Amino acid sequence: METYTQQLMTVRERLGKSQKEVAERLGVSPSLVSKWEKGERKPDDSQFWELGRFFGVTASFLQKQHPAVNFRPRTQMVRNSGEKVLFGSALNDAAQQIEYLHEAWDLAGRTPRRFAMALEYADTMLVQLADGVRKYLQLNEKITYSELRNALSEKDVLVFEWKLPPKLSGLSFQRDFSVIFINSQMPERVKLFTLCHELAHLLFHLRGDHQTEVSVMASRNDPYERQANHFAAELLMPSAKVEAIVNVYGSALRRKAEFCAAVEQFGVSHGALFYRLAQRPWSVVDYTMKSQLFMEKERSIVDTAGARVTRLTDDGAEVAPEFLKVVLELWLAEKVSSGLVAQWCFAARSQMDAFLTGLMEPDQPVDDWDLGYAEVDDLVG
Amino acid sequence: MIAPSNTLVCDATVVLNLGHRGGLEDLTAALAQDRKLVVTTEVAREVSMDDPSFYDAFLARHFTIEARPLLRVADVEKAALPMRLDSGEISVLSLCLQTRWAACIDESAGRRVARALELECFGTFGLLWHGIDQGWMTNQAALDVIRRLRSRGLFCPKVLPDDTFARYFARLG
Repeated sequence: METYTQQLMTVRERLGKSQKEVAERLGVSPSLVSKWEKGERKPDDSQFWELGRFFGVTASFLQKQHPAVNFRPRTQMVRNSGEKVLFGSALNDAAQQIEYLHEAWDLAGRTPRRFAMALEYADTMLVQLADGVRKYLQLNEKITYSELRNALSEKDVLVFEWKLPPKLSGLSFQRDFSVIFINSQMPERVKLFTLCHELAHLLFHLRGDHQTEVSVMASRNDPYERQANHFAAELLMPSAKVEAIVNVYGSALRRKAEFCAAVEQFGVSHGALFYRLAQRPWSVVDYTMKSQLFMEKERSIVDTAGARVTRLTDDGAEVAPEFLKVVLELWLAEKVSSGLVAQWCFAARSQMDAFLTGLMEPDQPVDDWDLGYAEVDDLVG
Repeated sequence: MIAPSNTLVCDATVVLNLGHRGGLEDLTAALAQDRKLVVTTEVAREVSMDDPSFYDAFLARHFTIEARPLLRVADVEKAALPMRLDSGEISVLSLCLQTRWAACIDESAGRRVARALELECFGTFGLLWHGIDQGWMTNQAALDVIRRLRSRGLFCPKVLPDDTFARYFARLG
């Protein structure tokens, strides 16, 4: 069976569209759409383009030769058809981004690389596993989001920060590439935990075959989710360090001041430390105390309209730096138009134009207003 | 010169230049009175990445969103090779190829393909030139627009102190 058949069905089902709806949009019979998905008939170029329009993806993505990326939302994540479309669009875009990676690497004549480390998960070995990963990635004791992102980038993990629906904190993929998507609208410390969580999936679960490339958006009861959360907690809040803090503070950790001081020591979110301290063997806090220690802000209404990428800079780009580099080389070699650069990066066109103009005209004034004058004085003095 | 009969199929950069980058609502309205301004579904989607609410309203005021099936995509992609164009540019050129409407594209690669396909092609500066010619805007106002577009990220030459619009336009080649 040709790959487009699986792709058509996957993309359609992510959006919760029926074959009948597709048929109506394209002015064909539902049985023809069914035949397309079974591989009994093939859409022509114009029909592929129309299908792409309807699904919000490109025609070439629907016709691609690589096996479909199997991102699928779990049913409990979506409450209504509106959420289904939001989720489905995000997952289709993520799958489309994987295809753009293939296209860019092919066009640049390069071979993709993937994260080299793969481990077997074991609860009893969690401390050693986290320690090994910390050493492999050369991480500091207190890990920050940008540090981990840079370390992963050096080890061929492409990290994209995207505007995603609120319930979707992150997702990951590993086959020819190792890719992590993080929801850019979350606080920095929540992003850190999510990045560790997705890293766990790359390490333990995503072996690159078709069955296990699935991103993880399941409930906490899912065994892979549980393992990823445990690993992320151990990586960010090592057992030995938690033990030391519990020994020093003891039950004082049930007071806000001591709890918050401990939060700062690890550089994690309040929720992450709370759940860590509530776990065995420490069980210093229990869930009835949560509201005394911190209040979770209500999630603000997130605007999911507009481009996935809202910030483009050389160092802190929301586009994975390695991908951005390849795409810019292709643009400078006049192999892709600036419009395609924006499309491949899921960035707004005017933002990408400004970014590219900045590269072409380095003498243009830059926004360096946040550079402290005191620091400059120190340097020249 | 742009004839009143010309239906203009605009690419994303042109719409952005007429929209929030150039603030050319008056010029757009004047152009739309004389002729049909069209964007494809792909271009409408592309500009809505910038500012969905602004461009939904802007397009509704001045443009027709043309969603007819595109039949000449393969011809456009072939003509563009070895360059790869984005979906918006391909859709604009494909629509123009099947309707013989005029393309309005700024991207040099897109304009090269338009010429190869023997399509009539204009760009943002051509629209400004037309605006001056029709008396809709002054020479100085057009130069101010170029300065504004440059400051907002459009890649184009600087306006020199003694430039007139005609001199600047000639320098574009």
